[in-house]
Amino acid sequence: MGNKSNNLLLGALEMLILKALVSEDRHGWGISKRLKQISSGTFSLNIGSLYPALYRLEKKGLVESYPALSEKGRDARFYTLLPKGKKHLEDQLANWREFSIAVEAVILS
Amino acid sequence: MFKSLKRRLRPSDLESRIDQEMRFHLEEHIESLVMEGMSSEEARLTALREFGNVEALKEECRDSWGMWFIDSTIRYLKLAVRQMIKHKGFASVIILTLGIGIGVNTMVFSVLNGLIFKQMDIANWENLVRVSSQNLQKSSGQRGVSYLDFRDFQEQNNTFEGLEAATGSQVVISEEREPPIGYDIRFVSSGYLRLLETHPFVGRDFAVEDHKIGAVPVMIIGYRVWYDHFAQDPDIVGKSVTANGVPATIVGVMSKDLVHPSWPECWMPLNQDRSLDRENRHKRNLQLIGILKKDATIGKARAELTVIAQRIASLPGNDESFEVVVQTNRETIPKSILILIFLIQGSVVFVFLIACANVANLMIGRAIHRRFEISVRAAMGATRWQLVRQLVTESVALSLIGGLLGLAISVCGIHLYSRLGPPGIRPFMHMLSMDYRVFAFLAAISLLSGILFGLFPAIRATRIDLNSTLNENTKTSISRRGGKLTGALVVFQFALTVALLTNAGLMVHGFLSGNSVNEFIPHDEILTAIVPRTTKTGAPSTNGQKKLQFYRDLVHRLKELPGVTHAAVGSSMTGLIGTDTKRVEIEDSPIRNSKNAEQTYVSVQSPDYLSALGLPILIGRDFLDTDETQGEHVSIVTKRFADQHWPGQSAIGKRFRFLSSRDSGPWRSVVGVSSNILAAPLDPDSDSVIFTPLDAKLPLLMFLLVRAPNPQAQARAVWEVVQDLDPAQPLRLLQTAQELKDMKENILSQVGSLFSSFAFIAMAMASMGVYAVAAQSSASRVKEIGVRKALGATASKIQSLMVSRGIKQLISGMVIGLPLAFAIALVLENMFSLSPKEPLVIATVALSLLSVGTLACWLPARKASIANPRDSLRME
Repeated sequence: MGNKSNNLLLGALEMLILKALVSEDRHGWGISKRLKQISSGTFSLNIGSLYPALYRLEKKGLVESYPALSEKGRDARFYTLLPKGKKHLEDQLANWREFSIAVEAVILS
Repeated sequence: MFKSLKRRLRPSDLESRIDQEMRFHLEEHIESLVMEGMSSEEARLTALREFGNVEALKEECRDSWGMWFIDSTIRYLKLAVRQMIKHKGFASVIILTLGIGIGVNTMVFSVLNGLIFKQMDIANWENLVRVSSQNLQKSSGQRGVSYLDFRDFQEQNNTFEGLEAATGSQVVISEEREPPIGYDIRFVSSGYLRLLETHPFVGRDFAVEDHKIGAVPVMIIGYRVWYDHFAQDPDIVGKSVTANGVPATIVGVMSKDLVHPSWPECWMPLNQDRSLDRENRHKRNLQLIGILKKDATIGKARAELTVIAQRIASLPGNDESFEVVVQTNRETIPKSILILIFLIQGSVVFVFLIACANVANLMIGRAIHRRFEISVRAAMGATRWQLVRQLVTESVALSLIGGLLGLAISVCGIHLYSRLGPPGIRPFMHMLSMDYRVFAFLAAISLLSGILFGLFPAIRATRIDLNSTLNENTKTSISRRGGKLTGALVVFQFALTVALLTNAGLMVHGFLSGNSVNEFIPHDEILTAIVPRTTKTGAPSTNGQKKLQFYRDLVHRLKELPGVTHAAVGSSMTGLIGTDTKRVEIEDSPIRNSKNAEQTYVSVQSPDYLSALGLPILIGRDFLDTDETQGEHVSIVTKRFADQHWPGQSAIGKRFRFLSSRDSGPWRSVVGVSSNILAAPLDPDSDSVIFTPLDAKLPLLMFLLVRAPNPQAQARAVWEVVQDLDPAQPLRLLQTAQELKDMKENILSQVGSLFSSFAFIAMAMASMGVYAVAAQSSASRVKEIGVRKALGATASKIQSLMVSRGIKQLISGMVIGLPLAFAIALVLENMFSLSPKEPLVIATVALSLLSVGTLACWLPARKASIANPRDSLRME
């Protein structure tokens, strides 16, 4: 049912999530907070996209999850970036850069 | 890897994980909002709002996990079970309909399965092959294998676990003061019975010494011989009898359940067969069976035996024109039986498809009622795919329960049949037992039917416009679209029903007309028997003149018996059972291509046969014993034959001759014209018959016919006459013509009644389908009818408006169904010589179907049309 732009956006979302996990392991709430923070509030991540995306990444073997206590002592599930995920992120970033340069070139021409 | 697999297999873990993560996220979110300054209640509401549809989210999480199929199927099944419990009546109607359909199909399939895969109850059945030979130069049928060839094959092959031979012939068992009786016997090689895993249940197998040349003759008898001939004599083992004039000792009795290829009644060692020629390779009369080694294929066996055969054939004096034929047992099943079973299977599949169409219609009806529920689900975010899956899961759940019921029905049915069916069926019961093929069939039709009747209604039911369905209250938008599909289903049902009913009708018609032909024959006054004239060794007698004299003497002696009014012998019992056909050439009208010459029924008969049957000779005379002795050849023909070839003239003195592939027979002149008799009861054109007198070239099997007011009482006397003429002469199948007729009709009537019952079930189901559709359509048009009536339409006008649609469907069904019916009828025609173009049958079928269908349309239409328009308009 999905179309191309949808896929592109999904891919971007996954890339953002992976990026958020580079610095440290985070739980879902932490990821959404982190993305909001580094994008200065631009990306207010919809929870309806975040968790399905996390599960997809885990299924693909790019991230792994484990239960642990949150900073405030609540039961939470943390996600950690796997080597395969790191590799995937690098590829995606390279693609993205290429793509955004191309887009910019077109727009600025 | 293992961990992820484990996770995948346990949907409940995933469920609690999603719950926990959502809860955590929500709590954190609320807390952060509170920290931003909201009140806790306000924060909770805001967070929840941002969360959106939790169920849809969970669903998506499950989907992205890839767990969705197993997990959601379980959830859908739970939903399905809930639906079933809620609508018990609906569910049980569907389950019952499917259960019966699946049960009957499984039963018939297990017969087919048994016939093809398990003909005999031996472990190696799959590897059992038959070996025979075929003359390459003549297109005649298969021949056996000579004794020397058999020995060479047996010694030189590497592909067979065992290769054994048997000769089939007649044995005449006689005891003192008892009339001799002829039985089918197999003379078998030493490993034959072991190869077929058949052993006597009383007494012993043949020992090695029994198979040696010159050994004392021993015999194993079949259960029926023991039961009928020896009256279950408990001391049967060791009893001495005379077999073909030689004393033989009975050493064993075969089990009642024994199934043996071609079912002989007695067995003796091969070397006791005195007609066995151990030197002559041209005498090919051994039937070979073999079991292939585990690693051997039939192709390998064929290749190897061909090499051996070619080596033998190349030796001087041997015949090179024969090739070896190796066939699996399956290849030797008669085609007609396979076609018959396939036809029965086909017709039960038809019935089942009609049942599925009914169920599909019911599902469509249900889906219309569930439209609101479906719309709500869609509004909550369920995708169309999810909805279709849910509905199909429900129908598959129904069909699987139906399948279980079907399994129970077929198991009970087979069990009942084995207990209540004809006693001859017992040895075949192992064929009907369930095996993996039957289970695979059962599972496949259960699953497929669920998808078949569930998918289309589901796809259609989920094609909804949310806005209109949720707001609108009328049912018209959806039922109009539903109308097309239900209409197509009705057309489909009627097409199948027409095909079934027409053929059932043809069979019943054939049976009834077969029943009422040749009514002049006094069946209950005629005693019939088979008198095979054999030599003392059991081989067919070859001396024609002596044979002829024997039959003439026999007839004369029988006529002298008190009470006997007529006695005759003949090559067939024309009018009672099948008669041969020959090609005929009429004098003065030469035939260019003898292959195209007309086939006419021909029967060799002694004098008095026609009068014994009650068939009057219209002109001319009956045969005399002096016919054929003076070099002149004569015949009697039926009136039909005479009218066909010599119209407007007297046939007496006219001449014709028989044509065969090699030469033409002598010219025969007509000495008498009889009234008509049907040689083949089911073929109305079979009354063109030729009778010829006995001559020195008689066939092996001759039929005896004795007419007396009380034929059964003559049986013993007939025995005594035969025995007095020749103590070794057997008499087989002594029965009255009435018994013969009943037996013959039994088969046709059983097949016919089977087809009829399927056809009537089909008609009932199709009519139910029409009724349901009509009722549904009239219910959805209540408002429209109300308006029409309010505007002044009469009840009859409304009825005709509504019935016309149904009639259109019925007629389209017939238009599609009739060619199908004819195609099947053509197959039947070849098998039972039924006439497919029986206009009366077709008209009856069409009319009855049309009237039943119209009635089914009219009943709901009438109900709708007489309703008060005020009520109908207020109803919605």
